[in-house]
Amino acid sequence: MAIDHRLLYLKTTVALAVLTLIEIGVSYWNLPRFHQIGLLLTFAIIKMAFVAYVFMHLYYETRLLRRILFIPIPLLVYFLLGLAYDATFEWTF
Amino acid sequence: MSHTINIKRDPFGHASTGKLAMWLFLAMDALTFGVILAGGIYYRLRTDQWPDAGQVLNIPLTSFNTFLLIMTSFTMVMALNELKMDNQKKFKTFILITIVGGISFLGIQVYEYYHFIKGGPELGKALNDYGFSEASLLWTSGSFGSTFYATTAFHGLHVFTGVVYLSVILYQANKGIYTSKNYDRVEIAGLFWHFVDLVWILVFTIIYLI
Repeated sequence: MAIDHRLLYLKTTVALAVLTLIEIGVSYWNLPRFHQIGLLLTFAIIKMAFVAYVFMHLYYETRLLRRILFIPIPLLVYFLLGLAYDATFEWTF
Repeated sequence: MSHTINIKRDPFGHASTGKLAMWLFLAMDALTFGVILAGGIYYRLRTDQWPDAGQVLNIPLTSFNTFLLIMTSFTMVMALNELKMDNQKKFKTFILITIVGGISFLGIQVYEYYHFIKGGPELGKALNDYGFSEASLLWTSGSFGSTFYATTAFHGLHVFTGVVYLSVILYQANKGIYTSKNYDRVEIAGLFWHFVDLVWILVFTIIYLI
């Protein structure tokens, strides 16, 4: 018989909903732009990790598969943070 | 005569070939989304015609849509959970709720597009504050319009694909194909659906909130 994960899925859904509410609050909060973008991206990454690890069962996959899937992510995050930094200080090319 | 048996552990564990293929497809699709979003950020850096968060785009409506998509992710994972427990009726019900949730998400997106394309004095005033001359937001309304429509429409196409995909799964479920021993295809469909939710988290943050 398979293990019943109902409670875990329910807790994850509640966590995602709460994080979304916090995100919306942060978007209306009059914070310095760089801090606001940093916070919003951090919350988004946490939420994405919840979905990938719990709902997509990535937690139960092998290390090799996780590594293959994660290779492009640091590059993308680095690129997005670089652009966010650029946008904050209004540097132009 | 002695025999030696070499047992090699599969580096991908118990994942089926179909599941591995879906994971690789999703990794590729994630990069496509990443490039579209990065393109949008780049355009944003290069133009002053970009409304602040909540000035043109409707955050409360889209927040509701975000909650809706999170709920469909929950119902999708619950469908798989119930199938593994051999609760056929609950499995089908959860799949059906997921499909209805996906259609509702698309309906709200169509309403949002209709509102922007039709335009109006209030929208026109909000757009004029950021240097736009039209009273409606079209895909030709500068970098902002093209980025907004390209990103959300590409995501919407994924939701539509997911709805069709899950409808096929439900049709097959009604024929009694899936059991607690045969759920691989449902799990693979679930991966696609959760990916749609995962991507929306980033789209919502970058396009609507930042």
